[in-house]
Amino acid sequence: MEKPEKSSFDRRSFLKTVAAGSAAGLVANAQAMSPQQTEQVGTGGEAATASETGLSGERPGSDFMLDVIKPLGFEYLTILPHSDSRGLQESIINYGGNRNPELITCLHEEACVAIAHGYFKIEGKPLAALIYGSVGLQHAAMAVYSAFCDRVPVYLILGNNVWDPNSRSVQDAAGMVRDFTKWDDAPVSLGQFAESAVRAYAVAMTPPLMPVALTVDKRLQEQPIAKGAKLRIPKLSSNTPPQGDSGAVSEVARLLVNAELPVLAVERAARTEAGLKYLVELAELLQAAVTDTIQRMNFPSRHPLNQDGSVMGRADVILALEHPQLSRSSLKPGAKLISISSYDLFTRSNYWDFGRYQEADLAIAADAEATLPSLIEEVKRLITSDRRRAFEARGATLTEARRRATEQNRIRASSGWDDSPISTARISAELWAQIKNRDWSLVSRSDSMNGWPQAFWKFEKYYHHIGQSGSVGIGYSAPASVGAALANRKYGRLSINLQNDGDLMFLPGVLWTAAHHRIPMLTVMHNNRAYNREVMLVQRAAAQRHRDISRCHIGTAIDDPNIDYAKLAQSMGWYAEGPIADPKELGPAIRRALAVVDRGVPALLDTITQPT
Amino acid sequence: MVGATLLILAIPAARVQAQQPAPTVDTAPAGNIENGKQAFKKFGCYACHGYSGHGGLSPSQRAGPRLATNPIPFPAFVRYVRQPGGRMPPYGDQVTDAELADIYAFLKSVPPSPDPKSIPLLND
Repeated sequence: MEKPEKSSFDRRSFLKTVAAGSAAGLVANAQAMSPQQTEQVGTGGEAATASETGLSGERPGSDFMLDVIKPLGFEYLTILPHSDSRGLQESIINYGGNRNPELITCLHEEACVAIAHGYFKIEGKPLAALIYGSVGLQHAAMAVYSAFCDRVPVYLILGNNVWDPNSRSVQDAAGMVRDFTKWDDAPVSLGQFAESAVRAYAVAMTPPLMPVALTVDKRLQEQPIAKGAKLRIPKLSSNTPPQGDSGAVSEVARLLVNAELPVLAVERAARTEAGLKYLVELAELLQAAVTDTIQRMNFPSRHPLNQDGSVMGRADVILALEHPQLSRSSLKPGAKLISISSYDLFTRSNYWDFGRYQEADLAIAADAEATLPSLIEEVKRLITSDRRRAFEARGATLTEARRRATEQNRIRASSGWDDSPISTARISAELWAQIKNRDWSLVSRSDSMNGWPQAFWKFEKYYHHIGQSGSVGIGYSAPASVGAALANRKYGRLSINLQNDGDLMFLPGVLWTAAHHRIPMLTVMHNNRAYNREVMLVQRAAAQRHRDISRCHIGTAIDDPNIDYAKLAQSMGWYAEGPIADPKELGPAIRRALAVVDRGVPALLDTITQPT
Repeated sequence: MVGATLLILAIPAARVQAQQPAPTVDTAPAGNIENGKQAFKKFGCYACHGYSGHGGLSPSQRAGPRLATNPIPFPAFVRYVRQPGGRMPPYGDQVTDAELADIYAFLKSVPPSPDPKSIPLLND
């Protein structure tokens, strides 16, 4: 092994740079090192690493890796510790001072990724997740798939050891998630690491947003930086999102303005608060109905133009925004289907994140949010006074339909109001009464508690809910809620997690992560002691086969014994109460739990619920 | 309470969701309320309609409509359970007439829900 020598990349200079200014300043001041020189680092064959030969104190490669990562702006890095990333972990802790990124300790790799998933949906910035490239990534894979389907960038850093392989090394670590990531690389030099690390960030953050993976070799982390190495940190070039072709956008505007009943069908249309505002502006300009699959906080829940899906069957023009699974079969014959979607810009073959082929009359392959401003301007240009009068009449009709639907929901909510187990409508209403005047954020799936919050809560800001999981997989919600609550913490927002019982048991260790990192949040259990939707599925299968329909609880019920979620949470540092089955106990319990959350402690209420 | 696949129980709301009492000719045979409560659970009706048949928000949330207190006339009820529309499982002859009579009696015995206007939490 060559003798490591002190690098010209001086740590004090680096720290001064960080203290002095922005990431841009850091990039500009970073000393240049040539990739050729750094490649000496990785040519030691079977030699022991620096730390193993007692040569600690020299600057290891992982310090430079951190120099590259820091300007990308990761606030946190989720980690499940493992041998092949020990060098980078140590650099983050001691060289980087465990700040930006700060390590978030997880108890399962799936939690590492799902926490990052939830965090992004509030903060709009990715988290990095440091995972063991072989066994750890296998644990994490499901959460990577969820993020992929949900168009969420997660920055995976995979520890691996190709120079001194052991029984758990892997030739191509990222290979197992390549079907549901956007890009990956396994750099063999620090110079290449710098380029690939910055490239990975840019790729992940260019619509369609998706996870990326960067494999970091153990030896590359631990070998000292070669003397005189002239490494440099590339400047991050942020890509502007792709906008729709101007001619096609004009045609969309013409169709919408002339339509009798246009519908904006939105799925992941709003990537940011700006997207939400654009959608409101477009809908109000046209007095168009909006149907929302609530995969994102696309549209205010109480807006009079927010309609249920039945309006789709009456529409003559449907604009599907980031909504590739909207089927023509749900439309009336002759209706025009228009699509603006970035899904068409990037498609994988093996694991699907799309459904049946969408037979659109006009399909624009572009980012919907980026295209909305030009579409709005074109619509404004085309609206005549005659059309405006027609729009006003249409708006009044839709407003009345919305009022009737709200009234029906109120009647439905009153049904079983005093029942025990507690109705999910009652839980939603009791909670809303105590949070409505606060700055709150629903950090669980947006359809939690059987969708009742969507029926009554006033969702109007982008952070008011975080949408769905993407993959519809179980096990997403609990860790994603912790990630979203982590992002909400610095804003002082109250994070509310409506937690399905089966989902929590996938990764209950996230309760410890939340307590350990002082992440305040209120979790209210939807504990119906079953995988209830699967009960219904098996019932249907049995009925179709003319077999015993009374045995469908087998394999779906989560009882005998009942899980005590309050004790589970208490054992990991949470304040918790329950089980609560009497609806009259609920309001006071929520009040007590909120008082605890206000002190920075996570709290859980185990509420026993009706199944629906 | 989680799941990967949609199952929309879709008894047409207008037919079944009798929120307000309506005059009907009660042709139902006498049933046993307690047996009906047990049968409602045994046959898994609770999974979509709730333990007391109060129903949920909407089919899009995989919830069945309200059945309790004032269900549709018994003959229509029997026909629908045996050969439903939508995505409700067809129970065929798995449930006997006597069991259906018990379930019907149970549903009629469920106390009426409060007037939503009387619930302050539902009026904000």
